[in-house]
Amino acid sequence: MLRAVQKPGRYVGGERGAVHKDKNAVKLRFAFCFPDVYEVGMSHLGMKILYAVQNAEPDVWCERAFAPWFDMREQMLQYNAPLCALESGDPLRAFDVVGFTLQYEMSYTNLLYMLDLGGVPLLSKERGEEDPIVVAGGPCVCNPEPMADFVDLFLLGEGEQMNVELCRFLIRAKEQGWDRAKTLREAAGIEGVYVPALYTVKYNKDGTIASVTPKRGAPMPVRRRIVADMDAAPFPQQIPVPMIETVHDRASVEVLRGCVRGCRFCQAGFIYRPFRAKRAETIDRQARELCRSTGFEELSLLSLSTSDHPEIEPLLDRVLDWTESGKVSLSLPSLRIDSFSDELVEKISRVRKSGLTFAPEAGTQRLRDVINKNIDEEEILRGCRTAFEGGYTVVKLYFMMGLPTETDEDVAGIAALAQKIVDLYYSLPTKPKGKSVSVSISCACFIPKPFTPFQFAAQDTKEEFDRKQKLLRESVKSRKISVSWHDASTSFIEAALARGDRRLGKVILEVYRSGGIFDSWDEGFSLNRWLAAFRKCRRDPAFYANRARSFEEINPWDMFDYGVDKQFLIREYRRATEEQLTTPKCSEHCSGCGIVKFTGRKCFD
Amino acid sequence: MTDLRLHFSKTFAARYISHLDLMRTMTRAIRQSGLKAWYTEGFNSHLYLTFALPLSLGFESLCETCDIRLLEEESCDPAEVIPRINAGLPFGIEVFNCGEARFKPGEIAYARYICELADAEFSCGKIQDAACALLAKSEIPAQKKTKKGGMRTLDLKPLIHSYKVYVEGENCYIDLTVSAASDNALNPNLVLDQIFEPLGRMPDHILVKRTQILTRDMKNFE
Ligand code: SF4
Repeated sequence: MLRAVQKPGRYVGGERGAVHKDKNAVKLRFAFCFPDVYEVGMSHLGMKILYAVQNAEPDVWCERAFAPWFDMREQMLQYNAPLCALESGDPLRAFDVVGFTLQYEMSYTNLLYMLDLGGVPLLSKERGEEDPIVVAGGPCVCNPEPMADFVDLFLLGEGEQMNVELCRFLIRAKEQGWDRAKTLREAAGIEGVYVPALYTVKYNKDGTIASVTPKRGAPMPVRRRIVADMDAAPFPQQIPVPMIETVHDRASVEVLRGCVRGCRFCQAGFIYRPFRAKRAETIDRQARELCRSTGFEELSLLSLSTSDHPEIEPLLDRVLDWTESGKVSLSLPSLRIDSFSDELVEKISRVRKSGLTFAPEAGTQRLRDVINKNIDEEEILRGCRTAFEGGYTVVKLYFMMGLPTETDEDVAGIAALAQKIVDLYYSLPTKPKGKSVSVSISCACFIPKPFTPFQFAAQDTKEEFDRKQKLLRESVKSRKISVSWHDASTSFIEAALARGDRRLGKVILEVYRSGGIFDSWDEGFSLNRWLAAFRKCRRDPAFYANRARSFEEINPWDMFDYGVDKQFLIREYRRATEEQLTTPKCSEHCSGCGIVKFTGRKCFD
Repeated sequence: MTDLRLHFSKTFAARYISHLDLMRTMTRAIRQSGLKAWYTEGFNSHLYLTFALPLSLGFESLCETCDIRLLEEESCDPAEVIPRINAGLPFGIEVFNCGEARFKPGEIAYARYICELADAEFSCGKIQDAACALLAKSEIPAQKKTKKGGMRTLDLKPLIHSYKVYVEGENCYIDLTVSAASDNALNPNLVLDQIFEPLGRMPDHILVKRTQILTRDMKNFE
């Protein structure tokens, strides 16, 4: 089989750092599935952490599985070979637990694809006593409802402790000889666990939710899990080191969790609250150990906004101290432009001088205020000037199109801002001689997401996106500026799934049955296939994507407690649309989002 | 600085690791070993590594080499170096010896491959006959892709130094020693293609294993 596929290295396993155990000597076997190709899954830090955490339990063996690419699928179907975990080579159906991480909505069809290929019945209600328990976690499960038909239990929030508790619980359940139904019922008692079969949803005539009722004492709301102390949270010293090149081929260490900013479109900014930074010392130690054990040539300090780390400069000094001599290059993927000081530039450009990436998100000040980006033009230009003076000539800018209240003026403002940056470059006496500047604009389509203030907003229609994209293209006058954007049709389906309810399970199943896999890839996605499936199941994607929701409407995710109050989201939405006021950084002023009630601790001293 | 030649095997699933991936993997293994090795100078500084004779994807090998340069202070004692590097290598790639480089890569003249073949339909005898029939010819013309993407006809016969065909257990084996000189190397896949052309398709099971890299005087490349 492997001779006939393009990248056989994806399917062979055997990496150093992969964990092997005696399957007869363990009490629980867990197949950790990433519903995308190997190179994408193996770039994901969360999977590596949970892999290590679960394998630290001597009687649990956690293995990995990824989605086989089209060419491999063909081979597997031809030879009737099931999808297997990389470590033992056993098919998914042989495991006690098959666990997925749902990082993006467009991977939902791949969950079905992997189950199917692994010999596990797709529908939760069709699984018998011999079948694995199918679980799922990750950011998408803050609204897991579209996947409720397929997943036996969801794990809400951070998994470092919860996943281990679940494994221990399932071992006990096995020892007690509980059947599947009792096991699932009892599992609902673990904090963070949501068992969809234990809830009944009723709908109004207009299609909105009328009520959600828990059965058999299942909790309501279901609270998400949080790791209290980031310094004490488990972090792997050794991880499987891929032999083939992955998307992020490097050692990654998370420096902080949560975000102090509160950009109103950003789901991660709300569902990972509160802000928790690791101490510089911890980060330095973990990074050093990981680089040593893996031999990686690159280290990435990850978070939603790395420059918001309270000890960022001492941290960089510490890390640069050994990365330079150890020939490790350092990358800082999420820097805010307003934090871009001379010292910081000096520090990071000691390592490499590739392009710089910033995310102003919106083209005008008015719209940046609406989304609470808290950054003004002067700061953007100052950041660029610092970068140019530090020798950079390539700047990449991320924007979002279709944000609530956006007008044509805001769209044209994106081009105008890029033009100002080009002009700034040419006005600098210190600009590098003979080098030209390049500003690239990358435009994503706004997708209203659960647990953000914009969860009430409508998404622009595809026609509107197309019109705005054309307008932007026409507004760009300089050849130093290039524009690229995301496909509006993918974003439309993503928006429908993100705020979808349980009734979308039928649509997802239909898409899969009609050949839909790898929907996050151009090679896999087909708008027509999705539209046909929606039609067949008598659901309207526009109902989920393009409809503004009232504050009173019961949303599918309202039954989950992620710590942020709905009232706070309403307040923020109002501020955005009516007053256009920004909300200060958490570290300067608490806006009362509700997380304090949830954790019982102040976020900042 | 001391030049050190690592001798390693590449077997099992590791045979699906491409040459580029092997370089990455070896680099990381040496980095994690903590051995102080030399990095190239210049803008794109990287760990210095040289592989004598790249191996085709899908082949196993018992005789790969990789040259590195250790800084003065490092010990070259195999008992010390080998376990440290092996601790960083994946399943199927294993350093089994290391030492001074006796020959230069330019001195490589031949490589020996053992091809293990089996098929549900073709019997071993049939495969053996096909192999013997082809290899006994005085000329073996084959189409070879040129660098420019075209095709040219090449006679394989002069590139085949010696061969032996035999059946053992369930498999037929072809033991081939072929030219491996840098300007004139023969990939055994080309020979296999020719053998199976009259049969209409390739057999179900093909496992090619490189067992020796040889100099002009038939000395092992050390
Ligand atoms: S409670 Fe206050 S400080 Fe804490 S995350 Fe919410 S708004 Fe920020």
